[in-house]
Amino acid sequence: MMNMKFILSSIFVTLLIIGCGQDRDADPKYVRIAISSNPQSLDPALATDVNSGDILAKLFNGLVRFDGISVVPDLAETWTVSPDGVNYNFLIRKNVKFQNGRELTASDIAASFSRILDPKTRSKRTWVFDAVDTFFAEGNRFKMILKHPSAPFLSLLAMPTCYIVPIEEVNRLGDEFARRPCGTGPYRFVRWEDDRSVLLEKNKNYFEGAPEVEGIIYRIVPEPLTQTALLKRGSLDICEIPEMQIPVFRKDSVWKERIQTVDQLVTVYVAINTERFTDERIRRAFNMAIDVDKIISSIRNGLGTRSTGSVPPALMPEKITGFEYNPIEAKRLLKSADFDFNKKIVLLRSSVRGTLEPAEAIAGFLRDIGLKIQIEPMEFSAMRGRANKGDFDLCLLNWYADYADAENFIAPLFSSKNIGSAGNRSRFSDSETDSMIEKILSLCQGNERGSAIIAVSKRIIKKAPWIFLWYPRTAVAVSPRISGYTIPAIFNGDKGTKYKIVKREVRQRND
Amino acid sequence: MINFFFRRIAGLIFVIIGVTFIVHLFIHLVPGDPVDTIVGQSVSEEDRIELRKELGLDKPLIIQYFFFMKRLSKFDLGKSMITQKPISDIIIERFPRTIYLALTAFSISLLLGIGAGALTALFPRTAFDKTIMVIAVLGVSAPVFVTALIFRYLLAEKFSFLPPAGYGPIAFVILPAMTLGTRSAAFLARLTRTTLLEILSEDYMRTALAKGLTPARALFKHAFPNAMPPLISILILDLANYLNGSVITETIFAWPGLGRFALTAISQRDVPSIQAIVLVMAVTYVLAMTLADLARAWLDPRLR
Repeated sequence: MMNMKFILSSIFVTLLIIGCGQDRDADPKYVRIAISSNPQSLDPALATDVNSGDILAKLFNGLVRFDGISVVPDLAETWTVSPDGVNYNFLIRKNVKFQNGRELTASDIAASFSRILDPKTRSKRTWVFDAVDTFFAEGNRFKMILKHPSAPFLSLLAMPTCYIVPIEEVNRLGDEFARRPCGTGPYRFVRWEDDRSVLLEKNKNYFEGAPEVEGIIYRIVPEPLTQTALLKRGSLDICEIPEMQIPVFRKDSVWKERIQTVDQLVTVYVAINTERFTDERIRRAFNMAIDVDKIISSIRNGLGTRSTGSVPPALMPEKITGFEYNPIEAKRLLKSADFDFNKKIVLLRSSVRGTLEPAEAIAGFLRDIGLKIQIEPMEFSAMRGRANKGDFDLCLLNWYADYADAENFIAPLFSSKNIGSAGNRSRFSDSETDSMIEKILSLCQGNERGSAIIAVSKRIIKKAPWIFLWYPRTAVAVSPRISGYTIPAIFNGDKGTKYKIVKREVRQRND
Repeated sequence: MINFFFRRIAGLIFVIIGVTFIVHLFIHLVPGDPVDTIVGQSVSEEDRIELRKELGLDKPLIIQYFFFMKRLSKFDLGKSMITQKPISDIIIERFPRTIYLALTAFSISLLLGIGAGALTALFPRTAFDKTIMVIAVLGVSAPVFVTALIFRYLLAEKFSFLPPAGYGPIAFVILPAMTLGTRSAAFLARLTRTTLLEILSEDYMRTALAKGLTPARALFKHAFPNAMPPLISILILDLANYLNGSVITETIFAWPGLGRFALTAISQRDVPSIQAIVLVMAVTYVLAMTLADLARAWLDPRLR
């Protein structure tokens, strides 16, 4: 027995000793942020994913940037727009230096934008400049002339794609630039180990003053439960809380104070193939059959708001109403449309995490009004392929804002010009909607555009090419040792200049 | 023996060539256009054709295969479509990490599995034997992600002995290695026990005990060498499985090895990377099988 005790205690001690090993990805000198996948590229021209955009915002600057959902000056100190809305004239900030020491000039902006448009760059975001006719640098000014007025134009310029790069570094490094980026941003790049971490250190020469913290480590941790385990252990500072963990965090005495939530500029929906369900009464019935509030409260633990149309409320000039849960009316509509209840309807969903439960719930509600629904889970790109081709009945999808403008939730999704991969997956084609969208595209920001947006949104709800579901809300836990972090509304909206480390070490043990 | 060795090696080369061909073929059967992965869908048709030419995708399949083999003969696996890094560099960077995890898991499974198997064979049908075998059944049947979460909860969350995830010094490898290792340890324990029990009932074992050897000595000296051949092949195949990267374990524990690379490559449609990974995995497996055959033949001349 003595022996057993000895063995057990030596195992205990050994575990304690090896448990103290240093984790260089968790260095408490830095702010440690969890991301769930390896960034695709740290070259602004090539990156299209959210994680890359988040990191790029720390490394680079654009002419303008997001503050909340409004556009504010960044490298451009001020700008003027001609009354016809096609001439933009930016005054470029002085004394801005790239991290290689060279001063930024207006011609760097021209060079960076030309690079995006160069087919050799293979940027997937050339469409950002679709409205642009020409641009050039003139002294410390940068001018852009548009083909036609474009209300979201400034918003587009705040995208990571439009960040300014030192062209000599791009030429020197070639493809390597994506692995060793260099910009003007508040942080400079130190190292990137695939599937492990990206380390940034503060840029002491940042034009708005160096950040207070030494740097940021982005830890690449794919599994959400692993992220929260690392957070509670004190090896992470900021991570998203998965929906199922919300109640656990809300009950925890330390963490309940440390939860932040933000409404994302995202809309979750079921695309209805309007070529197969041509009668809008049927599509409206689908919308009324689903108790979205119930799904939000029971599956998403309250993280979301029921959709009122496709556009998230933050981007709407005024509130409008969507569909109410009304299964009796839904059944009546289906009967009046002579709907064939024996027809099997397939609901496609991707096998991505977080789609199983919502799909089951949606199918359940639709079965309740007598429909025959079959869920078909598929690998994500295979599903997207079928959705693009229109080879589906119903398809659970979502749409992330590329830029903060209501138009981004209307034109790509409902214009008959954009059927298929461009965004209109429900293959919705309605000439009146089309002409309303054209009107929005031609108008500059203002009241008239606001009412046009409301009008088209109402029309889209009436025509019901989607089952409108919810606008998700993200919950993030921030370690008590960090202050100055607020979740940005748009993924590249956080420059990380306000972070502070208030306590060196936070180590919580669960008991 | 030498003859057998050369025959196996010659067979191996054919198998590997076959694998490269199948891999190449399969990749082209997968839906989706690699050009979409590189430039997205908003690019003009001319540019797409240009890019196809550049990538050699406009050539017939067999020519593409020829080019692929030509590059392969120079150990050039191409570049990742997403990160633009040479794939051989990625594999050189990640394979050692997977080997590190694999060898640790292998040691755990070897010690626990053979140990528990031998002990239970020495005391068959006792309470001890039954307890261990129940645990072994649970171990074999529990899915990896369940064992992973249980171990992590106990050793990293409830009691902070070990880091919950990440890549680093020895402490970091233990949880993932335990997760991987205990599963095959459980299987190994059952196999060792049955094999040993069978051997222990043989006449020569009775003779050994009759001439006065202790049961433990008889076990190690006479029973083990005879139990080795079937165990060796299981062990080597286990090792090959670990070396092929354990997608789930590496994902749960944020271990940046080959398994994670495979998952990332597949989810991003990174065709050259997928091709390279499948190739590396297939070659590892085939090599391991050959090794297992050779080892068994060496231990048991009847098999040559």
